[in-house]
Amino acid sequence: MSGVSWREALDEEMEPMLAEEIDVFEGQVELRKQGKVDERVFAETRLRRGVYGQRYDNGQRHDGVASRELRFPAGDLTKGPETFWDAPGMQRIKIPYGGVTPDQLEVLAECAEEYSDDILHITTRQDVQLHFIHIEDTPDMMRRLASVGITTREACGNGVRNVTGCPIAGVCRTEVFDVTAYADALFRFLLGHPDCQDFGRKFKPAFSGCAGEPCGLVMMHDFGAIAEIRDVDGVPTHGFQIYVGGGLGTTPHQAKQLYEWVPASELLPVAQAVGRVFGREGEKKNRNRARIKFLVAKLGIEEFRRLIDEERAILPYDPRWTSYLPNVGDFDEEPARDAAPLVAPENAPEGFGAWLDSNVYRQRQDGYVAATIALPLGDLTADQARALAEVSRRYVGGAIRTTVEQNIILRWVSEGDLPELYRELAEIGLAEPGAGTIFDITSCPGTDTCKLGISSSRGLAGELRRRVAASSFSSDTAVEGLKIKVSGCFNSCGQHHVSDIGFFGNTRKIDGYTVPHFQVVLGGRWRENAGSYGMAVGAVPSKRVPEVVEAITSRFAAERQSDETFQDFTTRLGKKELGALIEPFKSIPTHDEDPTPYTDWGDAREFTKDDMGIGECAGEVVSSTTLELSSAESLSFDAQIAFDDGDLVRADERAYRAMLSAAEALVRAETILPPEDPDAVVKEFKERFYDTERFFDRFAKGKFARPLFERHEQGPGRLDADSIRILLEETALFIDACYAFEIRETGAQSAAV
Amino acid sequence: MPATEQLVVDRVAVTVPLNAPDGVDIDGMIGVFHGWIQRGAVPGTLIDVADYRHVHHGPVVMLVAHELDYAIDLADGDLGLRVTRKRTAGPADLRAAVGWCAAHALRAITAFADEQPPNGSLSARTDELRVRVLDRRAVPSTAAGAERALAELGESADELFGASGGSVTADWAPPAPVTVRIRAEDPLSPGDLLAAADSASAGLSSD
Ligand code: SF4
Repeated sequence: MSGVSWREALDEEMEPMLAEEIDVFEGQVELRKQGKVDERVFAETRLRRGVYGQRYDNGQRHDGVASRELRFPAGDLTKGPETFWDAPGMQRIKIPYGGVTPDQLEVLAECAEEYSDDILHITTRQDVQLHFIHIEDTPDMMRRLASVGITTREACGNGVRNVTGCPIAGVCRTEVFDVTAYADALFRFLLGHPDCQDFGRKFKPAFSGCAGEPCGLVMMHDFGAIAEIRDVDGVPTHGFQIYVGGGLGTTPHQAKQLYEWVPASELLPVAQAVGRVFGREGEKKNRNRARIKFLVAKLGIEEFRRLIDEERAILPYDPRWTSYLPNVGDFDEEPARDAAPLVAPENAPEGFGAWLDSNVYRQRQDGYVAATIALPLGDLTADQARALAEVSRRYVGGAIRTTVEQNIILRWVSEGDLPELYRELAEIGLAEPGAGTIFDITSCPGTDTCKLGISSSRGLAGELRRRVAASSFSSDTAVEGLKIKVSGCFNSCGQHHVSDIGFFGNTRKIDGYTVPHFQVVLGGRWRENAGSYGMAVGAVPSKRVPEVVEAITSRFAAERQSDETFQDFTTRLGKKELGALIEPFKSIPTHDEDPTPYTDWGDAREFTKDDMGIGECAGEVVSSTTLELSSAESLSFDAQIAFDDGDLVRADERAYRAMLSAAEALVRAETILPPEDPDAVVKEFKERFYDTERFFDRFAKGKFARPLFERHEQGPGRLDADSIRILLEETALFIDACYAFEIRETGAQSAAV
Repeated sequence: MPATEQLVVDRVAVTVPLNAPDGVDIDGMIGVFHGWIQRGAVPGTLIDVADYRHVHHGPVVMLVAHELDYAIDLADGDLGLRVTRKRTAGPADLRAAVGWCAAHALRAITAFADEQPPNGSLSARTDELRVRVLDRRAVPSTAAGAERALAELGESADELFGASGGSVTADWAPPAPVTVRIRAEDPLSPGDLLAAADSASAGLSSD
């Protein structure tokens, strides 16, 4: 198919809305290259498409001797403040509730090998991340993902991030009911929702099927729902306990209960009301205080609840709130194979027993189990992903989920198939035992790729795994069940706060050198949906962390009282005693005696903090109006390209869409519009801005708006080159007038430069 | 079967197998690649070292550059140095791109000579090149795609191993990317293979 673009090849495969969004994004990429979109606006635009910056994208890198400039071919062109165009970046890909099909896994593998570095990385929020990607490859990559129903929209930026959920929902023995359909409905409802476009920071929702287990981690999320069935008028009714304002980061907050229970029919409107209140009342200027947890803390949960009640009461009815409910059963999965008992094979494959013990979970459906694939640091190669897709088709009919522990779960494995499944997974290197144990360490990207990383979280996690595998730590069964989680900095993406033994990166000056360290955080609670956070007991040099783990685990094994949990143990010892426990590991030799501790794990360079950059976690706070006007410009650009290609029909249609989008951007800033309703857009625009003369220019008056009214009322006019050329000019002038209007009204900085 | 028109690809990877008479220190490769960045020992806008030692049969340790990636490759379980040509670097014609990648890999392998043992004794095995065409738009993972790539790479085999004779075999099953092994009847010296690869890539380079 040489010569055929992905856009042409996949035209029929993509949902029209996704296809159009990607076309618009591609237009914005082109406009940015031409210097026609401000870098801040472009940065937020790409972040909202999941296109993230990566370490060294400011063009500076310390090579261990000195900081050197990286000279990229595109020169000074940027894709955001201090972010060079050619510098490789990361693509985050949303996987709602971790549900992924074999076809999707294959396309993810294709993207990893054709645009990235051959590696798929599972994140602590069930997303997939690909690294080292060029910005200009992202539109085609998005098309390929869209062709199998995956979107990257709002995977980063100040919007609703991936909706996470229990990876064993539907097969879990302790769940109240399967939350999958509800998580899916919330994901679809909030995706691109106008009420969720003006947040000061990100917003992470999570679902859990029960209160006691950790899978959903609701208590550390911005918005969380825990399944509960209540009797309503004698009818058992599905519903949720609703929590808001949880979060980790530098100042972790446990979520507060917003509602003790709401029926499922209220789930989406409540989430919408929360979105509106957060968008309106949340902090916008100080990004360090802009998460919803700060708003909830500032107002108090009672006042916050009052605002939500008030907002809910005035929400205009939306049929989507309940339209999915009759189809909840569509999410029930069918096993691919008949249930059969596990017959212990005479010559069981080597390692099968250990894998069976740690990686296999008995489902509530008799004869079936869920098998966890313990991925080292959340990574697998494209070849492995492809092979796994094939294995999953045969054994489980494609029932695959990613997990917040950076693993993959195959559900609906017939018990009788386990030995053969194990054999096949072992052949592709995906049968490591130890899932959910001290071996299965979670880590954020840290200094490997993250601009904010201070210490090498992945390097440390890799080293600890090697040492656990080599039985360097206590083999006590209570120790085996402990969790270790590592973050490269205080931002907590590795979720260290909810781990038995957690670490986050920082530094200390020793012997005149900056030395990589990890703060030790002990006793976080993973169960009960991340029920409580650990306590920081002191920082130790990175290279001494394995000794710290050895000391802590040995002490726990030796001194724990009967069934004492690690949380109870650390509480009993207290901060002072735990501090004393790690004290001997704080010192290192001088640099002259041994320079090794002055480097980080998995990195041969002498340590420096010079490579840290400006984070993009929050994105720029750019108004949704400015972003939408930028999209309208992209459509107008598309119209010009169609015109240049001689496609006058498309040029006319794109130009009209561009004007409509620009008008819609202004209207949406003032009122709520029904989706996909051009009549409503034009009517509202006319009444609000034209009839009132608010839109009028001092000299041109309302002239620039009239082409929109004419094209809308009269439909396509004469499709000759001259008429279309004029329409294109009028479209550009209308969009300029919209920008000017926004500046007049709000003082916003124009996206046009 | 001669190819009819140029086959233009965005991305292709070529692995040159390595001789490791004293074994290989995989952990030490991280330091080797950081050293290459410090010294500018290999061509390209050298950005970073990626550590994938924990991944089964993966790229193991990568030196990521803007134009290309260098990786210690264990994809087949066999040790090799893989060079991946990215986007618009060097020639886009498949045959020339294969020559370009092979030349970059062979030159990089000579840089091992400056390293400590055992990595200092790594050298190129010149009896085979493994080519992965990582561009399904140009070469889809279909029988037709493989046939087209084989036709092109058959000519590459002649260009690279002309004097001694080369053969190509597809080593692949869909939906994996089309992968072709180019084998030499009689291996050339690394210097002669490098000269042939340079000539195949028409002298274009990333730097
Ligand atoms: S915790 Fe810090 S280093 Fe790790 S991914 Fe988050 S911001 Fe980056």
